[in-house]
Amino acid sequence: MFGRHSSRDFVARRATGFLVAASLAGLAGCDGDDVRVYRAPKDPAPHAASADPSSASQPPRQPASPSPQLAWTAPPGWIDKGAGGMRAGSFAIHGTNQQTAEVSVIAMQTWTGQELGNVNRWRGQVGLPRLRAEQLPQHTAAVTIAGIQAPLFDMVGPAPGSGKPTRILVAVLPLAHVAWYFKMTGDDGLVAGQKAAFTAFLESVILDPPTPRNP
Amino acid sequence: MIRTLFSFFSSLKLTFVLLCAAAVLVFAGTLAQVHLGLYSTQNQFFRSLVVWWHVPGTGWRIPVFPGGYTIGVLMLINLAVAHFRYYRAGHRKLGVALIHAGIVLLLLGQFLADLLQVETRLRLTEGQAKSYSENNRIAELAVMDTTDPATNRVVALPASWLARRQNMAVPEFPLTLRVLEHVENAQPVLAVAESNTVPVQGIGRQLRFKPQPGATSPDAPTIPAALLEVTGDGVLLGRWWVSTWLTDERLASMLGREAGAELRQALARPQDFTHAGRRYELALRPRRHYKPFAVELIDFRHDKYPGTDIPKNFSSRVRIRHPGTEENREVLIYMNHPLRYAGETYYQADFDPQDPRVTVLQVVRNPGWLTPYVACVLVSLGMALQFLTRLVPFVGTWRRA
Amino acid sequence: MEAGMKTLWRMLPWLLLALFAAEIVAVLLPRRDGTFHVREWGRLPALLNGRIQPLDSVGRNALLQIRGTGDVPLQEKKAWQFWKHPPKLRSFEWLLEVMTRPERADQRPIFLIHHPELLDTLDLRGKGTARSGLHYFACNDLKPVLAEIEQLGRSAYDAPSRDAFQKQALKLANALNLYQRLKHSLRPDPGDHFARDLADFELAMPAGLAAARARDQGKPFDQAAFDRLLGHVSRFNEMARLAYPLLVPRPDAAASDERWATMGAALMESVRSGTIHPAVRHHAEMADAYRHDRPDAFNRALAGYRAWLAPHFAKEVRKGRAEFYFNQVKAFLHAMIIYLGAFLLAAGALLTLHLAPGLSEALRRSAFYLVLLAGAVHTFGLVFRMALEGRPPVTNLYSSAVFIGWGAMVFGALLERVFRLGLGSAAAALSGFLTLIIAHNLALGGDTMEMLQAVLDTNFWLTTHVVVITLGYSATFMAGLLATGYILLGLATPLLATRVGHLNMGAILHNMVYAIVCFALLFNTVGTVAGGIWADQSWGRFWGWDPKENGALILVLWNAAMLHARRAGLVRERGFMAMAVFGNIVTSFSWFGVNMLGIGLHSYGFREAAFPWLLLFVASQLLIIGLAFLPRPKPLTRAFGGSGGSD
Repeated sequence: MFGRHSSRDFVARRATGFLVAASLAGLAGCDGDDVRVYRAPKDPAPHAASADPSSASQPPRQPASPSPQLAWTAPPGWIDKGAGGMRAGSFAIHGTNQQTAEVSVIAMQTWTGQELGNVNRWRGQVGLPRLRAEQLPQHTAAVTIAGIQAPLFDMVGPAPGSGKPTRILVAVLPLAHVAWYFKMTGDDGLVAGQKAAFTAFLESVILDPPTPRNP
Repeated sequence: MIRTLFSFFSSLKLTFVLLCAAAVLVFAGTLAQVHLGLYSTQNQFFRSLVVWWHVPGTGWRIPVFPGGYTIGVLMLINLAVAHFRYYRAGHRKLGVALIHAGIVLLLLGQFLADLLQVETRLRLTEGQAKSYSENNRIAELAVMDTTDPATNRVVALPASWLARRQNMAVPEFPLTLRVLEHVENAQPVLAVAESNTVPVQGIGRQLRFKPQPGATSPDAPTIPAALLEVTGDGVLLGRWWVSTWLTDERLASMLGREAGAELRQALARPQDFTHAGRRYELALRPRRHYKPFAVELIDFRHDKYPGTDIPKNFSSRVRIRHPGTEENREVLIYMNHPLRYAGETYYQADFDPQDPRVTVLQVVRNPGWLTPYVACVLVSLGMALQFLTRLVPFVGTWRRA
Repeated sequence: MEAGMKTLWRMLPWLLLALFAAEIVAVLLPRRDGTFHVREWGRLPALLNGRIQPLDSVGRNALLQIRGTGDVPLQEKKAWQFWKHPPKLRSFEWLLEVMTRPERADQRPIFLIHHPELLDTLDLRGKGTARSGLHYFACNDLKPVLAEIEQLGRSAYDAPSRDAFQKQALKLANALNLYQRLKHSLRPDPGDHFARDLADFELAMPAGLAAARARDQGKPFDQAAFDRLLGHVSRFNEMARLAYPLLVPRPDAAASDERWATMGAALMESVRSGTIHPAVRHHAEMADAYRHDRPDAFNRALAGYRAWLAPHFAKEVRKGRAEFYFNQVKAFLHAMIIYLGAFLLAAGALLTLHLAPGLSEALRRSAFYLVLLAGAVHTFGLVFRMALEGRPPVTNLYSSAVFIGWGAMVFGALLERVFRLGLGSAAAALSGFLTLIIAHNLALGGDTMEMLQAVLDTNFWLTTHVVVITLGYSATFMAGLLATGYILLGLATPLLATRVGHLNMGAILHNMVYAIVCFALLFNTVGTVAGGIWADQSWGRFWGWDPKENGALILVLWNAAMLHARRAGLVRERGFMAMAVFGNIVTSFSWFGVNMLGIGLHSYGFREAAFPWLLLFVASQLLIIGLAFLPRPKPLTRAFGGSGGSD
């Protein structure tokens, strides 16, 4: 009723020329390239639970980010790296010539009062000189996130250490209790090319979506 | 001539060279695992007569080192022949003889295991019973006659046949198969209506399979897929996509989780058709090894240390039902406590991180499993004897001096 | 004069032994607490990493991960000023401060950053505190760049391979995360009066819960009562999310894995049950008293908590006290110091063998006694650890280092007992010292008594396989060390040709190494085969070419090759010694190197940071092997009347 083995070739192939093989080949019961014909009991109907994942496993993962929640539509070519830690979301982008960039969405306690310090820190990351408070407006562009006007900073320069031309785009959406930071960092060429996609991404953001975001 | 051979094969110099060569081989085989993965390293370094170096950019391969089998066989010969040359009866040599006998047994046992050992897996959800285990590395195309309500008549064709893309008349059945497409390592994609492709039955209406992009880990088993055209007595019966994506339960549940409700239903339906009054089913599946008994999972536990994610224990409570012997008993399989039954050993091997009710047991058939135990006893005995007869007097002479 | 010298030489070993023994006794005696009974607090049991441990261990392991030290020095001292004991914050004091007075803890410079690029990226140049040339930053220094650090840490975590910058960014992000969790483990932050808040919470509960139920059902509800309760609950929820050690024992818990809870979880539980757990109240009282600098109240609250714990948690309290004692005694540190002393004495004994035989014998005896004393302290620590863990001596890389040292000490002491030349003591002391230093560095990763992964949870196989194979490592290292001694002595001194008894010193060393290599082969073979059998029991195959298995096999093959080469006459004294030194390389690969490959079933003991050290070690051993084949200093040998090179 059950399996009928007739394989010999596996052993022969594996151990050509091997002394002991000759005496053992007769015993072999290995897997191989043979046609087998047999009768087998029917498989029971698919297990109810294993076919239906909604009843199985753990509850869905809780996003670690604070409320209110965001939802967005990622542009094509962005690889979703998921949420975690302080990040509500992150993406990787791969360009030609091994250029890479990454996008992150982070919720922070505040933005007000920290503008200059933050901008200067980002400028430091691309080797740009520090700004004074009165210079800040000249270096601030505007963008729409979830229908709200928000500042956008575009900084480019050689990264300290590697000297690679690096570009950072940051848009900040300051809400009452939380500020959302959208940051794209990477090789200048790639980030410059992705700026339109980044702006489109920002425009796609929705506050407090009615249902959880589906990855 | 024979004397020369004898003195060559029995010489301690050869022993030394072989031991060093073995050490170098094992060292190289360990480093190679970083890039090659365990499975291919084993085949290239240890389960081989010669280690080849593939010259990059050419089709050449150059033998660079003796493989595991060569060194092992030479060691066996050396040990056996040297025994005749050096052994003198008496208790002073008995220890060494025992040690070497143990090592011979160990080597033979491992050759035996390499040749005869069959490793399969048994994946069970709580409440589920199976009378077969599966080999995830080798796929088979099962053509089944499911007309009989009690049992299926199965013709299992090796998946390697798919790659040759020949027509195949299925033995025993009035069916002929033709391979239209074959994907060695596939990934599923949602099918879109394309006017120029041939119409497809079954799951192929929702899914197609295309090659996985990029290099995959050399150690991971491949996931084949194929588009088959079935004719019965010269009449076209239909075309079906088959893949282990649909039949390997781990992959199928992965697919099911990502799919929508409609696709999930389609995944649960068998791919079958009727010809000449009989019902047939097609499946490309991990090669099955049927057993004359069934194993049912009663309970799977995955204990963690309190307050942490460190696993403390995995255990599977299973019931074995053997219709032939009327046997029906419960066994607990857990870490370091396998079940040995009917010439096979069942180990707690894995679990499904997505489903807490699923256990994966490793099923190993190895007729030589006892040899290391016996070898261990022989070597330990021999070493103990050697120490008693050699070292103790050595210390004694020094202390007296 | 002559007689006086003789008496002195006879007394010297005993004097030295008494001196070091007195120091040890002083260490073993229990210490008193100050105004605040902080030591007593440090002994309290908590659950972390799946095991009961004293709060002191919670603090110590956190500090090791954050700062790389077991306590926080408050003043700088130079590394060589070992006689200075500047004031420092002990691990339990620091933990209590972090948990109850975070504003003060935030000023302590404990976060180590030394990568220049990371300092630039975070704009931290010129901030922080320099200690011994390293830059430490307080939490306050890092507050403006917390998000940046988190982001850097995240991308480092995701990276397939990390460079030095990313490694440090990840380490810093982890350290900050751990620190934040500790801050929220005992009391809500901010908040000055936890006990009063608890009382208010209790009062607010009935009305607040009623309001919440009404609100859920869409009926009119008391907004003020709801908000009052919600204010508390949202802060407790924050604690439940972040809290790290499980501080609250629950004698009435249904399941054994629910016997402990974090403060936050216990408080959230109160919202459901309507009552506050007594342990939570005790903790709150202690926290408030320490925060507001009230020693009497603190000590009273602590005594109250201990009285409450005593009937239900006697075992846990004992475990806490025992481990606290073990932490404070630092047995391995003291053993290390004595080993160093013993090594210097033994080396002195060897060097003065010709010049002053009387002195040499006195030094040799002193060294031997000190090795025995250090061995006793080492054994005390080892056995204490085994009792704390309820495990055989080797459970992870850290304990394998401790045990290798212990094994080498035993081998060396036995050799010394047989040969009485100072060589055994020197090797025992040096290997004890070196392995304990390695162990000390391995302990910087955090908890060294972590629970074992499921497959390792078997004392039988840990004993038969792990302990035996570790003894094999130990013996191979011992052989390598003695061979190194042989090579260096042969190069720099005429000692090898010195006749002792019926052999010269070189031949004696050769015999010693031979005997030890035989032992090594025995232990390595039995251990490896036992490991195979264990693997057969748990994974279904005797041999799977796993890197760690391979490492052990290479060691067995090498030991066997040595013995066969000697038997076949392929090598003589010097060659055999060179092979023994090469055994060091093989052992270090098997012990450490395979873990660095980051593959295989045994990669649990992964230590990337040690890789440069491993390379350095291998290079040094190759150098020594090279030295073995240099010609010996012939003229010197003749000057001392020796019989010339021995091979």
